[in-house]
Amino acid sequence: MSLLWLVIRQLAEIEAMAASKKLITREEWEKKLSDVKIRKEDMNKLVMNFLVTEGYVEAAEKFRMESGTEPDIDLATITDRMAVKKAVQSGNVEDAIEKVNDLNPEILDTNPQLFFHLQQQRLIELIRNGKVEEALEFAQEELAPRGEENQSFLEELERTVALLAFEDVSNCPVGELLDISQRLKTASEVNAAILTSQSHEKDPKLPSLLKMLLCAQNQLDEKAAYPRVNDLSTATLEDPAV
Amino acid sequence: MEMDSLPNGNNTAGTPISATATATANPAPPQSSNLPQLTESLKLEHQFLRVPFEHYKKTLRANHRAVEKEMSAVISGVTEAAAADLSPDDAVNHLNSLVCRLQGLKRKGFYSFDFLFAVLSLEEGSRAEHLQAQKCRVRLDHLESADAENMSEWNNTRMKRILVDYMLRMSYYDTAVKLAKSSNLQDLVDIDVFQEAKKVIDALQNKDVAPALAWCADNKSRLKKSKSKMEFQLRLQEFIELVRAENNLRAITYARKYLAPWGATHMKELQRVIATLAFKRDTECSTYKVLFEAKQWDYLVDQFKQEFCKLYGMTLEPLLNIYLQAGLSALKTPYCYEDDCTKEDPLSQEAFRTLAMPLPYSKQHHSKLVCYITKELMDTENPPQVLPNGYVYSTKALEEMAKKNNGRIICPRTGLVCSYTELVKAYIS
Repeated sequence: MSLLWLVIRQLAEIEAMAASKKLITREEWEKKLSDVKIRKEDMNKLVMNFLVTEGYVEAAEKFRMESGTEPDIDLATITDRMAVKKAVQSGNVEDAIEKVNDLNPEILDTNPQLFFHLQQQRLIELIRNGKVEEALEFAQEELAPRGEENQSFLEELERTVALLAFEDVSNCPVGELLDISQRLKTASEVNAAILTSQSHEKDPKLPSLLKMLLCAQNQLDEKAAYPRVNDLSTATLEDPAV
Repeated sequence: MEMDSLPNGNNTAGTPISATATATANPAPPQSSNLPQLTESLKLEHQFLRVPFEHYKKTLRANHRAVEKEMSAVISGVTEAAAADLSPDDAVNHLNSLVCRLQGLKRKGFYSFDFLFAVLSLEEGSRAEHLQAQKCRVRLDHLESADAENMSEWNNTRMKRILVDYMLRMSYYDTAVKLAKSSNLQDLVDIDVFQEAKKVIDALQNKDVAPALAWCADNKSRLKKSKSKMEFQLRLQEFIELVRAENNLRAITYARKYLAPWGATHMKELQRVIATLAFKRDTECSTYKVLFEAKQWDYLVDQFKQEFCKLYGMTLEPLLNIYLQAGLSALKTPYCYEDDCTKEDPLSQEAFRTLAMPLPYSKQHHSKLVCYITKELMDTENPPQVLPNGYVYSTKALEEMAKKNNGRIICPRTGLVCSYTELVKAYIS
């Protein structure tokens, strides 16, 4: 019987805690929001940052003309960067390496991991195209020496060379290396390295701000009931559940 | 009936097969003080019965498979003949060839064929089956023959069996055969079983995996049941040899055919070995260099021996090692390593001391004092007594000495003379 009372008391405490959460009405919330001022130039810079980082060069050019917001890098370099990204995504790794070196030879010299991943992607493409002898020669001459120097490269090399042992890739435990997602992963890594070399952030600021918003909301949920933004695409405030 | 063995070779049920067999065949054994010792002794004979039994089962399975294969071929032949539009002559010829096939099967000793009733029946068993069944019987009889009267002779035979087992495991086949023949032990040792292993071991030592792969194929289902990696390891080695010979394209074809099916369960090892394609035979990278070393073949030999022993229910260690280790650790005490250790103790000899070095000390709950004079154990019935000089002897020995010397005691080690009344009784804790 005493156990039952204990449970009832705990439930009562939980309810009391829930009741003690501060309730903020829509009017209060909207009033507080209207008091916050954001400069238009800052908004435009965020948009430009997004367009530049994601490589929408034509949109960035138009946005510059219409809003007068100057990008923080030369827009011509975006075209080059996107050409590299596109080359990797379509499996032309040799072409991509050449383009990166034209853009800035230091990128691959100072980033052995990126260079290894590009070479690995090249090996994957040779295997995909059934060029077994060429793939072997390439692995022996280009990848094995680098693998010896670095344990994590060695493991990647092992996984990649293992593709040769499987005729039917659907049954291959490392078959995901032949997926398009692997190309995208490598392309994304190259893209980030080029941006870093241009003293530019690897990721756009806008998604980071949205992440911060969600994080702050989650923290606030513990302390108050308030109008929440649940759908980021519409950004509509939803009334708190009372 | 499956008998799964524990690592030390005892059957899981706890009742030794040999003991059960003895009990059923001989319900009223003669009363003897040695009987408990005998029963304990028989518990160690699991392998002795298990090996011929497993060999027998294996032969039965092989014969059964051969018969099924032949029979299905004959039945499908008859079905085809019935379905085909054959002329009477062709049909007769076809049936004659099938009859010849069945008669061939009969000659092999598997089946008899009765034309009148067209009845197929399994014969009593092939010659090999019969011999192996006989061997099982001989061994059961040998175990039953062990009794208190002939224990010494029986133990002597056991000693020779243990030595033959050791020789066979160490690949001293000719010596093993000679000892078995000269002691008339052929049916009590597993020479035929080890001859089967010898072929595989010799081939592996000559860098040839074919006989080992054939052995794996013969025992496929049982190896699969025990989650053995033997076949996989052999395939990996064959792949390595192709890479060593720089037959890279053949190596890839081989990998696709024989290694890829193991990918789901052994991908890590598979990856490592396939990577040798990129590193080649003269690599200095330690991860792959080791795969090209000759000692890989020694590992295969060791692994084969282990799998072979497991398959036949043998202990993984030679019996000689097991008995020696058990005996030495039972005898090993700190006293054995002291200078005044008695010469009767095997551990007073350097050779035995070396063997006993890695073994644990015997677990002695109570001190055991042995009288220097009578060599008998001192206990509550025959308590120890202390002389004034500190030396200890048994009451029995001192009483006899006092009787002979008018109540005087002479210490055999120091020559001290004292009266029996001066002795002090000691207590063993």
